This record gives sequence, structure tokens and C-alpha cells, in this order.
Amino acid sequence: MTHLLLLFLATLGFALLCVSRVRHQRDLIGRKLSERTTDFVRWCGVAILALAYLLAGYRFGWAVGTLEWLGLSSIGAVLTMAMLSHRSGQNSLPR
Amino acid sequence: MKNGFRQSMAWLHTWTGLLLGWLLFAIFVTGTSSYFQEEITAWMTPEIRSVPADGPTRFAAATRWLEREVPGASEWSVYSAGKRAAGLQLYWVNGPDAPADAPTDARLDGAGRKADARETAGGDFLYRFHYNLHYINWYWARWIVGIAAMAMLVAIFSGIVTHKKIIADFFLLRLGKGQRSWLDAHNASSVLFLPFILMITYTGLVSLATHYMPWGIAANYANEEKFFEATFPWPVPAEKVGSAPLIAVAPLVEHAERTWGAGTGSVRILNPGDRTAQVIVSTAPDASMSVRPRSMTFDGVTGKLISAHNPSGAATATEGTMIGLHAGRFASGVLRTLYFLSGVAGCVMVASGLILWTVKRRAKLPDPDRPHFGFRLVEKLNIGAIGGLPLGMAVYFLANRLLPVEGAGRSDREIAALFIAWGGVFVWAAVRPSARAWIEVLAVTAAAFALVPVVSALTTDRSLIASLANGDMVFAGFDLSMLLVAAGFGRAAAKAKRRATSPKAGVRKRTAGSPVTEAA
Amino acid sequence: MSRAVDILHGGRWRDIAARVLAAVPLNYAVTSALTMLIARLLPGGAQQASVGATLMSFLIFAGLAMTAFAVRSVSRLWAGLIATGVIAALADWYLIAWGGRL
Repeated sequence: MTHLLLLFLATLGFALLCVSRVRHQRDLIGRKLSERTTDFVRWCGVAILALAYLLAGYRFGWAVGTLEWLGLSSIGAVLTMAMLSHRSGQNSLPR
Repeated sequence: MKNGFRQSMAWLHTWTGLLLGWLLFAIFVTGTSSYFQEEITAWMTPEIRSVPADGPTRFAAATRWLEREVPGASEWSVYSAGKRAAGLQLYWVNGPDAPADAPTDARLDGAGRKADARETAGGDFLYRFHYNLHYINWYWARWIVGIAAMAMLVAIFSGIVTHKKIIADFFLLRLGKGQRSWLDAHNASSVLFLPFILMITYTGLVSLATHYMPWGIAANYANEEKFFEATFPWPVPAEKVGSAPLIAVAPLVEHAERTWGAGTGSVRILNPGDRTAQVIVSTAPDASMSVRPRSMTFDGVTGKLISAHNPSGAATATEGTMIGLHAGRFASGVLRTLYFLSGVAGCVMVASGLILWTVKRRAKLPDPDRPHFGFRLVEKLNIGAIGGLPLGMAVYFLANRLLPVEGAGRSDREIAALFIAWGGVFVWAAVRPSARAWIEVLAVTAAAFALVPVVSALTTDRSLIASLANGDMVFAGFDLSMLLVAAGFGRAAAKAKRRATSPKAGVRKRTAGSPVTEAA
Repeated sequence: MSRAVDILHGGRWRDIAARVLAAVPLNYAVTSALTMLIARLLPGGAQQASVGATLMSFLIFAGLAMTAFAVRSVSRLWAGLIATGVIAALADWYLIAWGGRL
């Protein structure tokens, strides 16, 4: 259903934004990306979040849709943060 | 100058947050639980099984009940909290020949039968507490809450200014690193939920705006009454002239709902049974984002539409929507859950901020075994405020099941149980060493929440198993939430224990907080 | 709060106290005067203007409270707030005397 899709898009969007931060790249994907790729990833993240907003507005009306998008985006950001926290914790464990 | 500005805002953020944080935590916890106040009330009145019925049928049944039970009343009011309410709430103003102690309210289930449920304040108590507090005159309580809300607003703005790396640290959550972890938790819960946090604080102030700032009205109105008449044009009962049968209410409700395209929230009948009778039908709280309802006033004998009220004007629409956003009564399902989760984030924000204060300063104590008075005070207040209220709520729910069902003053005793437990935690925190007190309070809270579904199963016929079998999602959801909260507090207690007994605990107390280093 | 003791013995508590007095009671008076002025000046009728001005008042109060702790000179802070309050109050008095109230 739409809510799950919105949550997925929000998480994906924020995950891409997270990857577009150089300091998180090693933890999330294991290597540093080139500057051009980083920019591209950032714009993809923004685009996906924007797409999610349009979907929410179309599906629920712009008033309720904005609220749903803000709330699900927050959850998506939290999930991204949890992923990063987990992976950076793994990466700093002694091997 | 820029550094001075940031530093002064950091100072302001710390002090507004610290001084009002304990009260703000209580407001956030009870306010957040209010998003499910109808469900909480339903769970606390297990005798009522909600019977779904549409608007016209329910209100007609309520009117028939009122005709039978209180025909001499001068005013009847029937309220529904929208689609999620279990039944209708009735109020009436008794006629002049009724005895002084005659009842003035009742609760009906969806079929129009008087709900004989245990006397309880239910979720409504938690809702009212978050702006009226308790045991304090409401006028002063709202001022205290308002000061806390304004301090919160200043804390938010100053926090944003102070948080130098708000974008850079957006996703940062370093766990298991003491002070840094608490800072990250505080930042994450506030930044990732900033739209909600900012909205809920500002709209909270707006919700009681005229209590704090009556001067906007005074500037244009010599008499406050004139403003309220213009804003809330509700008719008042006229002199009774002679009896006449009250018209059937169901068609009026139906007509109103069809005109609005929205459900009915309340039906008020002035002078029922008299020729001057009037029926005022208003929209339901979940009919629109604005809390200002639309209403239609009908003649109570002929059923003719006398007047319709549709709130208009940009300022009214803004205010109505702001309060509507705060209360979230229009929200259902996923959106309501998002409101709740955002509220929980707010609780985490306040609690982590208060704990961060002690963690930061513990590292800088000259003698960690004998901290100065201010530090000890904050530590004890943290345990009492953060650990105490959740335990109080668990005890509130337990008291609902354990206190005898009959008897007057029952709801007051449930509430007293909450405050006794809460107060007990403050006392416990004062006499125990702080580290141990945290573990003990968190563990007892976990146990108390875990007990709620157990005690409910033993004292009622609506156990978790039965609710799941019947598809009763309200009761099952409540019991499962209790278990989830219990698990959360249990985990917190375990973590606190590990930290207190770890071999590094002694070392941690003696080293100064290490500077935050940046990973490349 | 051993630092609080230091602050109390030093002169800094006077600075803080002056800012708190400016940020709370003086702020409330000034914000009220400004809110009344906005209520008189907003278009759309008395009722909408009153509601609109009230909605804005909390932002004004919060802004002035932060200013009270941000500006470097406490004396300039008090002078500025008092001047603003007096001018707003005079304007209110004039507008109400001239235009009347409902």
C-alpha cells in the first residue's frame, strides 16, 4: 500500500543522501566515491524524496499528504541513521 | 561576534532546557499518550463493547434516552469523539425541579444503552493533565505549562542556532560512547523530527493563546464577551413558553451530514419539549483539519433550518488549523501512529537532553564521589521525572484493574495511585545512590508495564488472547503496547546495569570528557 | 552548580538577572503593546485582526527573549526594549482613542 511505498522511498532517499556525505561513505558502502558520483547520488536522494512528496500529495491530498510525507520522512531518516550506526559499529569492531 | 552569539544561545538553550525540562517531559509523555486517549479510555472501561453505528442512528438513540430519563432538562448535549470513540458522552442541564445532586452526565454505547462501566477518568485524564496539570487550579496550571512551552520554543530556536553541524551530523548516532551517544541521541530526536517538534510547541501555545495574550482582543474589543460572541455564536436557551413535541433528530443530523459531506460531532438541544426548542448540530472533530466546527441550528419543533455557521477568515482558518494540527483529531491510522511516534521522539529529546547535562558535568566533577549540590539535585530530579511518570502511568492502568469496580471516588483513587507511585520514585531517587536508583526504577517500571496485560487478563474477560481471537484491535493493541514498553524499559535497565558494573565504570568517572573527533 | 556559586560571588549574576528581567516581564509588556498595535493595524475586520495579532505574539516574545541574551550591551537592551514598548503603547493609546473599540 501507499504508506509502505512512501516509507521505502523516504528511507531510500535519505540513504542516498547519507551516502552522499563523504564521511559516511566508508561505513555504508566500503569505499569513497568520486566527487561526481557523490553529487549524482545526492541529487538522486533529493529527487526520490521529492517524488515521495508528489506521491503523498496525489494520493492523500496536499494537506494530509504533506503531514504524511513529513512523518514518514522522519522515520526514513531514523532508519537510515540506524543503518549507519549499525554498520559503523561493525566496522570499528576489532577483526 | 558570531561565536559570542552561538555561545550565548548555547547557554540559553541549556538553561531553558534544564529548568523546564522535567515539566516538559511530563507534558510530552502525557500529551503523546493523548493521541490514543480514546483507546486508553476504551481499555479502561472494559465493560463497554463499542457498537458501531452511523451518526443519525446514534444521536437519535441518545435523544430518545434523554427524553426518557431527563425530560425536564433545559439543555441536552450529546458528544461523539469521532469514528474512534466507544460510545457517546451525554451532558444535560437539569430543570428547576430536579434535586440538587441529580446526575448531569452519562455515557451511552453505540446502541443507545447506558454504559455501566467502572468510574474512571481514562485517557482523558492524561490528556487534560498535559495542559491543566492536576491538584493545581487550572488557571495557574495553564500559566505554568505556557511558560514551559515558551521556554521549549526558545530552546528549539537556540538549539538550532547552536547546533553548528546540523547538516553534517544529520545521520550521526555513535552508540556506546557515553557523552557523545547522549548528544547524538538528543540531536537525532530533535533534528530528524524538527518539523513536528517546532509545530507541536508553537501550536501548543496557540491552543491556549488568549490565556497568555488577551491583549490582541483587548485592542479591538472593550468587552471580551463581544469577541467571544463574534467568534463562537452559539445560541442560548430562551424563556420556555409552552410544551411542544421535539422533532425527530435523525433526519436533521442526516441533512447536516449530507450538506457538509462530513460526520457529526455533537448535537445540542436547547429547551427540549418546548416550543422554543432548538437543535444545534456540529461537525465531528475528525471532519477537517481545523478544530473550529461548522454548525447548523434547526427549529426544534418544525425542523426548519434557522442558521448555519461556517468559520471564515484567514486568521480564523490559520488558528483553527494550528490547533487542529496540535490535537491531530482529524488523523487516523498511519498518520495517527506517526503523530504518536513523533511525540515519542519529543520525549526522547527532552529526556536525553536532561541526562546529557549530568553526563557532561559528571566528567568534569573535581570529586566524582562527592558532587556539588546542584549536580546531585539535577541527577535526582532526572530519575524522578523521567523514571517516575512512566511508572505512574503503569500503576494508573493497574489501579484501573485492581480497584473495586463499584464505589464512588474510584477515578480519583486511580489518579492518586499514579501520583503516589510517581512521588515514590522521587523519594527512592533521593535516598538511593543515583546509578543504582536508575537501574531499580527502570526495572520496576518494566515489571509494572509487563504486569498490565496479565492483571487485565486475570480481572476481566478481555485478555490479550481473547482480544486477538476476536479481532479486537484496540484491546489487543493496548496490551501489546504495554509489553513493548515493558521490553523497552527492561532493555534500558539492563544497559544501565551493564554501564554501572562494567570494569570501565570507574575509569569513566575519572577521565574528563574526550573532545569530539571528526572521522574523515 | 559550583559555577553558579562563582557567578553569584562575581558580578555576572547581575548581568544574567538583568537579561532575565528583560527577557520575561519586560518582554511580556513590550510584546503585549506590539500585539495590540498589530491588532489595530491588520486588515480584515476587528475579529480577524485580533486573532492574527495573537497568533504572531508568541513569535515576537520568543524573538525578543533570544535577543535579550544575544546582544552584548545590557543597557542598550533595556533602552531598546523600553523605547519600543513606550512607542508601541503610545501608538496603541492614540489608535484606540481615535478609532474606538467594539
